[in-house]
Amino acid sequence: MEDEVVIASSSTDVGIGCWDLRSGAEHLRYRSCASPSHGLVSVAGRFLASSQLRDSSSGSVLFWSWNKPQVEVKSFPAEAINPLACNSEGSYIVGGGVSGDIYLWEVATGRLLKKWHGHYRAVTCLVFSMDQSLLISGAEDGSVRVWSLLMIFDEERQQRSGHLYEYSFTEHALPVTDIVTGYGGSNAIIVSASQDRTCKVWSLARGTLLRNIVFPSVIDAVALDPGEHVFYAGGRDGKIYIAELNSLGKSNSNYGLHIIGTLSDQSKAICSLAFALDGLQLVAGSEDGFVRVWDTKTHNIIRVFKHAKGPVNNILVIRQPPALYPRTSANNQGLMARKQVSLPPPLEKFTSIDEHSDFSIYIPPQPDYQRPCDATYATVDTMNKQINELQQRGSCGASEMEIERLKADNERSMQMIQQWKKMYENLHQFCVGELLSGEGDTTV
Amino acid sequence: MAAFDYAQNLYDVALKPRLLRSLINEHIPEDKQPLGDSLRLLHVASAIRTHELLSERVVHSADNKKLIEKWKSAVDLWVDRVLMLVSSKMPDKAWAGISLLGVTFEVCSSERFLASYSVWFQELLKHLQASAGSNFVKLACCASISDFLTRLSGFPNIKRDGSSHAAKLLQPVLKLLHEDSSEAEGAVTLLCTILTLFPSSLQKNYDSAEAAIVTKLMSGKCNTDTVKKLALCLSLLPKSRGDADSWYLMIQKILIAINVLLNDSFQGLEEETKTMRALVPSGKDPPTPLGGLMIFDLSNKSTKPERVSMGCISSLMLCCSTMLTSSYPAQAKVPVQLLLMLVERVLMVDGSLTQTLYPTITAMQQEYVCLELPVHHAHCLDILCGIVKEAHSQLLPHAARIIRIVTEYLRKCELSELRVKVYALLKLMLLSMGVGLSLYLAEDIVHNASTDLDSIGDRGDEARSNSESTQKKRKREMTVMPFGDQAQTVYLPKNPIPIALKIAALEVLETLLTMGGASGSDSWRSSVDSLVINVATDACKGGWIKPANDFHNSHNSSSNWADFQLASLRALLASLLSPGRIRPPYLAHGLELYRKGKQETGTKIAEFCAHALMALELLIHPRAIPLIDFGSSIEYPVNGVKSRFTENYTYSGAQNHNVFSVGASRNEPENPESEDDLYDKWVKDNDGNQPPVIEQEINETTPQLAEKVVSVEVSSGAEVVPEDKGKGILVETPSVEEVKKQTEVQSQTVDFKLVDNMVTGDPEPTDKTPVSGPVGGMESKFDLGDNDDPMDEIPDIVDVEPDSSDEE
Repeated sequence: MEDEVVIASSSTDVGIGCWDLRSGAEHLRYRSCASPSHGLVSVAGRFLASSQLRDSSSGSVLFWSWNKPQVEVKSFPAEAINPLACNSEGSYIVGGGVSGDIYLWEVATGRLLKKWHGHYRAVTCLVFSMDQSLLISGAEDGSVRVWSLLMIFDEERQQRSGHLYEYSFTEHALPVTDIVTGYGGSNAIIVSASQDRTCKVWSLARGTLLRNIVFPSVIDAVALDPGEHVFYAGGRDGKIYIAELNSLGKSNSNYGLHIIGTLSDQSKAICSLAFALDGLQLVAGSEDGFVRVWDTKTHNIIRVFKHAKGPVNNILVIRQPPALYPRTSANNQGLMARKQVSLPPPLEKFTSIDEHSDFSIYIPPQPDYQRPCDATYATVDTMNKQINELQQRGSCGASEMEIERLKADNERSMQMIQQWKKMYENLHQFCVGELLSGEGDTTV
Repeated sequence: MAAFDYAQNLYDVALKPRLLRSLINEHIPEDKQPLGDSLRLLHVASAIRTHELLSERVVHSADNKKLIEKWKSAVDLWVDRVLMLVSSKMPDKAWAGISLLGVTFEVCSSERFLASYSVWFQELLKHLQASAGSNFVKLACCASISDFLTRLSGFPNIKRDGSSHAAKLLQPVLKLLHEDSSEAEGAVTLLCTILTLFPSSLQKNYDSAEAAIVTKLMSGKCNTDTVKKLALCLSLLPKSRGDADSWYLMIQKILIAINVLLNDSFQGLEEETKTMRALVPSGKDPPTPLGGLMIFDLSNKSTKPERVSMGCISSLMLCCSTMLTSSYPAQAKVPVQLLLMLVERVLMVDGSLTQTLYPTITAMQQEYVCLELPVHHAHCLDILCGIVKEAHSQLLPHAARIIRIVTEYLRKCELSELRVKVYALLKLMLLSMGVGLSLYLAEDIVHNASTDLDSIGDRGDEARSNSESTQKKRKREMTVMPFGDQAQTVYLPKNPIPIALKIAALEVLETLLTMGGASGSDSWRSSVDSLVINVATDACKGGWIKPANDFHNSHNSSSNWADFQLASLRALLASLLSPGRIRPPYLAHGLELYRKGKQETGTKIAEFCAHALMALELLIHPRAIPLIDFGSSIEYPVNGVKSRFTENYTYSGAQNHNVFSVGASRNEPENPESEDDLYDKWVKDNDGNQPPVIEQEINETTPQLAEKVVSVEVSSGAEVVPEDKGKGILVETPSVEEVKKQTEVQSQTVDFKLVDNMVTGDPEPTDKTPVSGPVGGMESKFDLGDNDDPMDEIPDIVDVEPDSSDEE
């Protein structure tokens, strides 16, 4: 099994913490990061990107490469960006601005490909659907909207349909705090949490509200069980509520309908939640600056990381990037990764795309892996072919036929010779006869 | 050799040198002898490969010394003889020697290869360089050298040497390439090998190689196989420089060349295009023309008849798609807009004349173009496929354009071969772009695919018997699908529709159902479902085709009726499984088809039907699988640490959904509070009368409580969460049937110290996260389990419970 790392950032400027989930060892701490909620992403495991809470008119988004603690690339979008998201291939970064605009950048070139007005107030969360074709956004105005990325780029279609979004859910009364989507392509569910103390479950296929769950406290973070049996909701009261998803809703516990239990250890408010890759360990970032790892099977805390004083409002759990493997390690994975670390250019402030701009797609380098079993040898095949040819040339039916034809030819010629011979003989006799008789005549 | 010196058996190492010697004596002629039958050589080659006679693989030990010597001398003899043949004056003997040397490269030991590879190479090089000589020998020589390089590339430490060797080959290979005869094919293959294995050796000869390849490609005198290889060569050529720019430059050059050629051949068939301007951005110098050929050379009508230039276009397009799909060591920048421009341009030309007063081309020219157009279209679709495959998500800004191109083309295209290709492309796009795309394309796909599938039963005799039903169906489908406004040109299929096209149509429907069955499907779902079940029923009506029965049918098309049946069953499964709002209406029909199909043991259909039945079982018994199941003894390794298996490893997963059998037959400890949804419902149904599973135990609790226990989802599995040290850990262990091992596993993973650290400020000993299930639930839990938990633990828990509920 591959190593996983837990990455955490906070709204106070304490940098980004990074720990090995299994051993608990801390890796590098990436400096100078004060991120808003949902403002930290790992771009396809290649580098870290985070939007920043700064008091200035323009926003700022920073990139860190894995092996250097200091910021490597700084970009300054037109306004402050709250949530960031990137698709699983790491080809696009999407950011939600405080004005409600949503920005879509191409990572390879840093170009601002699209910008559209998504919400009436600041965007608070952005999530890609599992197949990466839809984008789901939540905002302070309480709306949750589903965007088809194809539609965003297709101006013709936009004009026909009149609105950009596929769905717009407006049932939340207060700002949306977190959104997660589940498994299942077109039939997936969306769970959104809001400051109105509810979590709502939506159907992506039908665009309808499936379930509304009222919690005793405001929910700031949601994590979906991989089996989608339940979801975990981190509350401001420090409890992680377990809410059921697909049962008939008979269970009514002390906490309310559909809530069937809690994970709790008397800590402060839960600010972020994430599942480890095994789908069993739930990593929770808390307001007190600690990151706790729960085992959802046994409901035990199995590990605690101390991040800093400030609230841990972003948690990521990802495969350990190759660059983080120690230099001494025997596998050359780390070496290879170190060779190609060059971060992309900063994200553009304004779009520079016009009709002349040169659109290209970038096929990532594919090193040639030469495995011995790949080697194919040609000689034997060629030999086979050539011997076939030889055989055909030497002894095929055609030559037999040729011989037959020659024989027949020969026969005909022989007959001709016979005829000529006969004619000659006749003529000879005739001449001789003539001569003799002529002689006889003259002599007679 | 002694006459009675028997070998142990076939595998005896001692046998190998002897076999080798006798093979040499029998079949490899000496200097003066003539070469025997060439078939014998094949026999020798295969014997050497099967018995590994040249491998010299012996365990080194004292007693083996003699054997090693023996084998070594035998192989020495082999090499001597073969080299003698290679240098022979007689062409047939030289040919035999070269071929056998090629075999030697493949199978000889690494030590021997390393020791003498340069000598061997020199011998072969002599033959390749010889100005005269038989083609036959040169062809064999190319193959042999190609094997030499393949073997050489397996030794990473002599990479540099390999490159220098390969560089020596280039001149003779390029010279061979210019020749018209069959050895050019061998040269192309060899060039491919060099480019794949030692690309850097071409650095110096880059331009001449490009020129040679392009000239050959443009000559129009190669068979399709060679053209493919040449295209591969050209697309591999940038590898020799290995930087991002040369890849881009190459594809740009190819695109320019294609456009120049197209300008000529599409004259009068299309409107003016601005492609050239886009290809060469203003202010920049155009790149040197492809292969150093002047534009004039490319498009000179007097030297190149139409036919040839059309052939050039398609081979250059092939180069484009090959470049897209072959790997490149650096990041490749694909000019996707230019490619799309080209594709759009070609696909929009359908041979009709432009709307001008005077036609600018003759009817004969139009004929030529129309003859070749399908090939161009096919290549363009290949290019699109290449783009979709490589670009993945980066395609997003261009997706709308591609969709428009493809749907427009699908509407017009009538040739079944090309429609198959378009369907394959659509399938690829659906898979790579997901739900968003299916919303877009659904209507077009459904409309086209159903038109193509709409003539079931044109299979010989069945056509007649089915004709009425087909007619009926056709009518119905026409009424079902009033899609789009196909005012201009409507595609009407011509009967009979080839099976390959139907299969492609079914596959694209299957993909559509798989990717986007749930979303936005109101408009088309019902018609697709009924279409698919009809097609499947009709396809399987005539029974199952045994592969042997249709041998006479298989030669005219690669796909036969059995493939069609399989495709229809696959589409049916997708239609049944694809999420919908109601139960799939044709479930029973489908199940019957699969049951019947499963009996055809040994066919692909049976395999698939078994799979389909398993998948459908989930539809009929839906499960929400619990996170923990104490009743089962299955354990998965935790975090890579493999936990030990219990001795009584019994698979009891079946209990998850089959309650009756559980209740009836199991008497081992069962976990009644399984969190399985279906289980709950089953039990609820039963709880008016006697619950079947927990008879004895449940009797003690009230039925009401039992129900509660059962409906509790996670909490029942969730024991009391350890809140404070010591106690928490004690408390959580007495779970239902939880055996002690579980505790051990936990104690391994729990980091006690850390737990201590963080809960320092918590004085309250009681549990904050109670099980939300009622007390009765807990009691029944303990009642049920015939575990041997010490009973004195129970009060502990029961005490805890009310506490926590009071708090809320």
